[in-house]
Amino acid sequence: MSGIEITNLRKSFGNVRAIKELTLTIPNGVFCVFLGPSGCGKSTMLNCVAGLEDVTSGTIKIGGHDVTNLPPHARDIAMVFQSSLLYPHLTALQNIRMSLKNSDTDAVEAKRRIDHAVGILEIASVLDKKPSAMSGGQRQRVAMAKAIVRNPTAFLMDEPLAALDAALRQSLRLELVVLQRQLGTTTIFVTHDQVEAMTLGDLIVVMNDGRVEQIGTPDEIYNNPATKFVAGFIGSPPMNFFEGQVEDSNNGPTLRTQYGPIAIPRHLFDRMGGSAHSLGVRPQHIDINRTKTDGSIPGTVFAIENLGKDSVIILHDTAGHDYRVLVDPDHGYTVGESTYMCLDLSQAHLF
Amino acid sequence: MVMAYPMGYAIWLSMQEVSFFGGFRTSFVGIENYREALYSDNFWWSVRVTVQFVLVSVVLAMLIGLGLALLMHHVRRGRALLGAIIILPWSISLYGAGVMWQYLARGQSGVASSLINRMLGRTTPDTAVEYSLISSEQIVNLLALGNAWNLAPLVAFFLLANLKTIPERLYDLARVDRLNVWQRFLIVTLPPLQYTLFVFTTITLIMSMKLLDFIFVMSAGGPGDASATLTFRLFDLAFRQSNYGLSAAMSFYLLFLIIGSALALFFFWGRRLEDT
Ligand SMILES: Nc1ncnc2c1ncn2[C@@H]1O[C@H](COP(=O)(O)OP(=O)(O)O)[C@@H](O)[C@H]1O
Ligand SMILES: [Mg+2]
Repeated sequence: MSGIEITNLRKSFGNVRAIKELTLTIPNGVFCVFLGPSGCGKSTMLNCVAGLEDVTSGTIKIGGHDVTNLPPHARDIAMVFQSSLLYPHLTALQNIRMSLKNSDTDAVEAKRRIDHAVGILEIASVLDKKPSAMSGGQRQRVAMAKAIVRNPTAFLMDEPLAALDAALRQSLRLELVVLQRQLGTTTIFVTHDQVEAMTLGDLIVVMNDGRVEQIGTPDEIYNNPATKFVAGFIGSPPMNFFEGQVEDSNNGPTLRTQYGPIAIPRHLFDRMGGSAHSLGVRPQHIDINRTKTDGSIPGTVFAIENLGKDSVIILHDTAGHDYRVLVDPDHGYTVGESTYMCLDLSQAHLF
Repeated sequence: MVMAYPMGYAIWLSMQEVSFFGGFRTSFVGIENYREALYSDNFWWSVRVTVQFVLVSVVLAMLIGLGLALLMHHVRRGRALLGAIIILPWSISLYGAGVMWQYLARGQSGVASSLINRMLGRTTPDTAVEYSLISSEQIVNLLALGNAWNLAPLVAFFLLANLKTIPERLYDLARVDRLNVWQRFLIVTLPPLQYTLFVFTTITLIMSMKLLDFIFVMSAGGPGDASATLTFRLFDLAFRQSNYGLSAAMSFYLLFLIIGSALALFFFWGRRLEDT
């Protein structure tokens, strides 16, 4: 049985084409993360799947049933909203009960499910509290309990962790993954945070401007980005791009930049052909030196960020373009110094 | 001092018997005026009229205010125009409103008569029948409606400000939970309005108890004394019958009524809002 099937989904608001085209099958039980910058159409997509927005065209199937024209409550889904939204004037328990109040579930079954959810999420102590009296983490757990008592075919989550601080987000991410594994419920999780996407998803859908840029596992997305957008969006610090003209000469393929030619490995060139104009290199694949070597690119140290285990040196070229280089913390460089970048192109990308 | 002098004068006055014949004279009568008020049928009738007038005014003002606020909140196009139309009754003076309402409700040439006669095809003077909205049974309710209509726009705009603070997503949550319209109203829409509703219930209650000019213009306490509220009664006693002492005594009963009901409102309703 398939989890969620979206076919040729389109959604416009007047002249705004929020979703231009989306086709995707999420296998049963998979944790699928939609990742993209804010405004790219993630919430709109989720609202269409949930039935909160009518689609402009296309079909949506959940658990094998065509739900395109069904109202939200008939779709067998549970939703967790941004910042784990709850009814502010109801207690945690009343909030959870609201999920089943108007369903066909009988009282005995409802109580069993609520007790079960309260048990696995360990929220017995906050059941009488209103959301304003709970911590962000407690709210998140109550919102999850509210979702799982529905016993849905799919969970839909729209940035539920967005408003939490970094440490809490990290621990709740882990809880969420464990819980989803345990329940085996197909899940769509929307976020603009690439770290969240990489740690949560079995499958990541990278969206940009109402379209899918790439669908793949976190590994595939990171190691084989399909587009320059994906390459630049995934990974922290982000990938560096060197712009120029790709040519194939007698000495092998090269990228003609304003600092002279950069020799490009044959396997890279073969994959992209001559249409490429951008060479992507991750910060950990660049070395910096004080002396010029063959094929190195000049840059002035503009800023240094200390991450603890590593440091990021941000270089400016003469045109003011940024390059980020990952180095050991004992690098010894100072702001304003002139350096040269040596590129390791074995894992580079052409776009 | 600003408060104390008129208060003191009123207390003094309420214990005097004032007479004008042969020059302005007063004599001390103690609590006689207060006793007289309590034994007067007119006084109790006016208390009854006041309570009815205030209850209907407050309930209608809140309901109309809430209705207008929800309307403004849900209308997408022409919101500014709608707002202007709604604020209109509030911005015309009570006196103007009184005249206008009286015109609409009047028997002979009023709107009700014209409409009903037109519908029944009675267009000649000898077949037309008078349908006056101002009958003795309905006069108090009608006055309350006019009063509520004047107060409602202000209530509506404050409620609208509250409505705008409700996260849109709560309505989506309600849809996923399959809440019906009534449940959604109780769980999502109403709670953030409670404080404003309490404040304006108190304000409209006090304003309605004190209201005089509107009643004076519209019904002058009539027909008979069908709409003689306490304020009208004590105005009438003081300035038409020159019974200053009794009027002042009644004004203190009115004051107790105002303070008592405001305190009761706070005790049974307002106090509970603090811990939400
Ligand atoms: N109800 C709406 N009416 C008009 N435009 C909308 C509406 N909802 C979203 N949009 C537009 O659709 C685009 C995608 O929005 P959204 O799905 O909220 O993005 P995301 O969740 O990825 O940040 C944005 O350009 C937004 O302005
Ligand atoms: Mg969004």
